[in-house]
Amino acid sequence: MSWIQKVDKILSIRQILYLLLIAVVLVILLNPLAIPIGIAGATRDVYNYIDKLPQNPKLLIDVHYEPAGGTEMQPAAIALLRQLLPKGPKIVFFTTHSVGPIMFERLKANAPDVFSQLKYGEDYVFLGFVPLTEATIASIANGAKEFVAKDPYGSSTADMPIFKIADKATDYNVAVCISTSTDPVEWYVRQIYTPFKTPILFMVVAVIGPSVQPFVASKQAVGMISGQNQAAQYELLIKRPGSAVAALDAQSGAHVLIIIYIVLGNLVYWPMRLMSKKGRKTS
Amino acid sequence: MLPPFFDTFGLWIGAALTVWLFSFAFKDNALYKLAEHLFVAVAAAYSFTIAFDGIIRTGINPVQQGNVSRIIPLIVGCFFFAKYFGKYSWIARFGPAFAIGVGLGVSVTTAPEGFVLAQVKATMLPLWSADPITALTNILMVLIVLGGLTYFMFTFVPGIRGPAKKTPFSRLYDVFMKIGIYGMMVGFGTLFASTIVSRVAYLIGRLTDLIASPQASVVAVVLALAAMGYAYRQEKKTAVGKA
Amino acid sequence: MSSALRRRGPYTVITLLILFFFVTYLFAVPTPVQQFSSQLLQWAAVVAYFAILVGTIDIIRYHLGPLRSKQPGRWQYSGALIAVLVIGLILGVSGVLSGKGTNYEPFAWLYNAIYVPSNATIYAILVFYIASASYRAFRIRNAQALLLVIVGLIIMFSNIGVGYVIWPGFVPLGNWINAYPVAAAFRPIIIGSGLGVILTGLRALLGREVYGRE
Repeated sequence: MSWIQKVDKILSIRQILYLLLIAVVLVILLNPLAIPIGIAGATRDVYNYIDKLPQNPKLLIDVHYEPAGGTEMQPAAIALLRQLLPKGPKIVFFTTHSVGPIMFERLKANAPDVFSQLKYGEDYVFLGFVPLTEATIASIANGAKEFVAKDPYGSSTADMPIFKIADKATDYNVAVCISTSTDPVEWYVRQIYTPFKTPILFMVVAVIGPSVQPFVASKQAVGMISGQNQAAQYELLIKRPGSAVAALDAQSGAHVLIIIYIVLGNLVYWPMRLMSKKGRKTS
Repeated sequence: MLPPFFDTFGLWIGAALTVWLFSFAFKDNALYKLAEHLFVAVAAAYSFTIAFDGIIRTGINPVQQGNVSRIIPLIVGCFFFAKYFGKYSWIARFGPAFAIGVGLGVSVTTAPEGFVLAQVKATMLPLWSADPITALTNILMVLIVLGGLTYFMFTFVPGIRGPAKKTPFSRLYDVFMKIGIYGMMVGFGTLFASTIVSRVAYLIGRLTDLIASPQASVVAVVLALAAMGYAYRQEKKTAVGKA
Repeated sequence: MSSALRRRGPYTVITLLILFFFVTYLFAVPTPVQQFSSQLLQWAAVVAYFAILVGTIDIIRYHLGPLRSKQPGRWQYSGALIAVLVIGLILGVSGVLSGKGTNYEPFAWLYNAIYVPSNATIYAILVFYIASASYRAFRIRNAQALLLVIVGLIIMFSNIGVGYVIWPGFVPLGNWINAYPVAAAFRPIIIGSGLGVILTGLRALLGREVYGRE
């Protein structure tokens, strides 16, 4: 067996690749490197758009992510709320994800500086979980308080002051979809933007970012924050670095390791392929 | 109010479940199976609770407040349960039929404008501009969209019957197909890179939580190693028995 | 007649609903009709909750089988699942009926201790498969694979601080690739999915859509 084949045999033991990845991420998490982060134009566009919103903007926000996606989406959501806070926003939160209520409580717990300054029922409201169907998004767009009679805390939505100014899709300055899947994204485009032309902003996990990009390029959405890296950039733009910025060093380490795996895989593959071709020619 | 012990116990359970679920990547074992089943159990209980809560808030509460028409979806929703009564299981199909009908109705009406026309309109870009980068970008975008549409919509190869005969049309088709494929490769390369960001972010989240409970994590790792060792031994015994 | 109702009834419901929404969206209709259309949307959302209830019941029924028959290697796990599920249901429903919803403390403890870390970990396992795929499957065999790897590497460098340190131009380059070629590459998929939705609706209207075995 040639040395290349020996290297391939060792690296083909996938558990070694897994352990190396865990080790690199763990070491960097325990010893941060403070690597500088560049700001992408797309993140700046979102920041500038929110900055230009009028005073007391009205927003509809779908908290559609689960605990896994929370690592990427929560920092972006908190950064958005912190940027909005000086404008005195009026926000209608709801969730189409069954675990959304848990994630909303975690969002509140991790952004006490925001929620302590907002009055429930006047400045913000949480409608709770509504089923993940296109009809639900259409119902919310046609009138949220008519659809949901009581919030998860037992209060009647009929008497809440916020619904006097923010109830239907046409009332909102922007509808935000914080999502880990493409379904709510597509439904927002079809049921909020297409009939009512309400501006949409997407905050999505990186894995669905490329699929959502065409909506941004066609100006059906005003912008997109995609992934932990853009969430970190957004935190830097609002000058409040948080968990996304803290995680980006570990992201760098993991990425470099995966690039090394790709390069090694090809450095091992090509000589072995040439050797086997030579072997076939001579035999 | 739960006793303070539950906070610590909760952290230990969380760390244990995290490590045992991760152990699947190394070797399937009994602790992984246990963790998986516990997860499914709580997920199912939580989903049921949240749906039950939703039915009360959006179905029963409006009826109590005077919106009597909400009784109709409550009745239609109960049709779902007819599947458990053999003779009447055909009634169960009306529940999903209603939901599917409304869903299709709202999506079909807005899909032409929202998905097709808007995207086609966005592709109609000026192919000439004073700025050469803008012009090249626009040409590239139009070619990639046309190539991608050719690749997806027209999956036949024209002009091929018996020995391959290249007509001018089939050559043009080949060119657009190739552009579409290379365009797709750009998209998939980006998708791969984006997937890495997401997956690594999930790993970072879990490791951050494990670092916060080091004792629990170490104990869980020791137990997972023991379970994996036991599973490996069982496998060897079965293999020897078969041989 | 009853067998016709059983077989064709659901399809008729779907067809009528699609037609109704077509008319209300595309034509000017009286206000009561528009209001009824909004009401139908709300009703569909309420009906969708029941599907989740049925899913949970089906999970219990599925796991009762191995438990009853004491299937070796499975019955213990199914037993643990059903036990924890029943405890969860009791806590959850008590919380809802007491007006606290999912914030009922014992129930909140259960899902914070078990569901949250497990859900996050299930998705996190995928990173290992990405790592092994990077070494074993990402082999540059032709020009297309080469382009995929080059673009992948550029975007990877644009996503991380190390890339910015090596060459700051990675960030605007990655931004341009995302905004233009990638948007163009995924646009045919969206157009195709839009056409697919239209065709599905058309097939449902014409009664040609088959939703299951007849």
